[in-house]
Amino acid sequence: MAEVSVTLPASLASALGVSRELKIQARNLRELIKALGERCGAALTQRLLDQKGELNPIINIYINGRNVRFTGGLETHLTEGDKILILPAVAGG
Amino acid sequence: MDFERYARQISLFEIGLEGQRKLRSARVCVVGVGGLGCPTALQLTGMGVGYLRLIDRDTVSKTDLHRQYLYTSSDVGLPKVEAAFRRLKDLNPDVEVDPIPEALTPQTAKRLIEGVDVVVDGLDRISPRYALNRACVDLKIPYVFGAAIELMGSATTILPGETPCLECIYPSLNDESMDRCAIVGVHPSILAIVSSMQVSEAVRIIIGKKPHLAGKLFFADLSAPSFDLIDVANSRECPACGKRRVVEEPSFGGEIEESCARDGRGTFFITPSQPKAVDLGRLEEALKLRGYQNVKRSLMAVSFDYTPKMRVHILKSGLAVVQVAPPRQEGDKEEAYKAYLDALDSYD
Repeated sequence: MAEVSVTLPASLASALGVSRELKIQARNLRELIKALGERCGAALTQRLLDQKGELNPIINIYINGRNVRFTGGLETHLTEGDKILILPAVAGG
Repeated sequence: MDFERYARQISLFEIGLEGQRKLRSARVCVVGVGGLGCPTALQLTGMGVGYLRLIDRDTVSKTDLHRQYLYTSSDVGLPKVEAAFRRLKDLNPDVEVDPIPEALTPQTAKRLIEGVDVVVDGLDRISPRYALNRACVDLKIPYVFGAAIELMGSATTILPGETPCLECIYPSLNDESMDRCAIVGVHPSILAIVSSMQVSEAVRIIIGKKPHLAGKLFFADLSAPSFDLIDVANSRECPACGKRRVVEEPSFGGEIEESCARDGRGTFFITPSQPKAVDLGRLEEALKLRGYQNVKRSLMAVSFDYTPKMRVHILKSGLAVVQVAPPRQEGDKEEAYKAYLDALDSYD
């Protein structure tokens, strides 16, 4: 188990009534999202994952600045001290 | 140089006289003159860049006016680049404004941005942004990305060969799964914030300073509110700039595309696979001879009523915007395309 720091989207954290900055213990990203759901509520998991349990295409998760779509997606292994940022993709204008 | 006009910039430590001279000789391209592109083009013109290329395929709609302050109520129906050209020349006649009424696609991207020092993103969808990103990577032109929706916005500066590119940061997106401003809305304030960041970045590139957002993603959310600036990393697996680059032959997505309804009307964009310059004077004459109603010619387009519920705008680059009044009916798309073909037939 690695303890990692997680930053949630500000609007989502505000809507859920939880802190933006969280410390979570998990081995990989899938476990991390499950733990986040247990801590913050099912609404968070529903936002991050699609109906098949895969990463929602419009959510970007960065581990130490690298998009997890290049690191193994939900199976990405986490190491102690990783900094994880969750942001919605924005493409309007 | 008009020292009086630029006095507040020349006295600014960030820019100064040397910076102002560099701005004066800079060539900038703004792709998309909508929610982000309008404030960007206004600022760059006011600041006195030498050459400003504007690319947009759209016409002005009433629904644009709450946030796209280049345009006024009397501009509704005009090509955006035409209305923008007039307004910007009025703001600062020193700037050479080059309005191009075309769509940025994988086929046109390199040709449209060639020869500029920096590209600023004013687009509203991810697919043309991917095409723009790849063209900038290939041509090694700095690309200042910006995007906004609802109360959120983001920006980054891509220096090809140095920083992560757009597909490193925002990979595997497609327009079908993304929220659209026409559906969920966008707050003008977030557009002002993001576009101002973009202009600040473009100016730093022009005056030879390292852009603040090189290798960083700026993300603002006015609903909380929060402002994040995070380090982002290159991905070797990136399909656009990585070692395993996927070279895709640009595919043509089809000539007609339906957009979100605007001003209560369905909107179709028609982009010919090959650019075809239209003689607007001849087209206007031909349409009038055929008896079409409300034929109006501007500098860059001819507009007419194909039917009482369908208004067609043919741009001089050969593109068309067709607006259809409600109720939406099956066959509107085919009818819109037929209107376009009939217009060009009357002209040929």
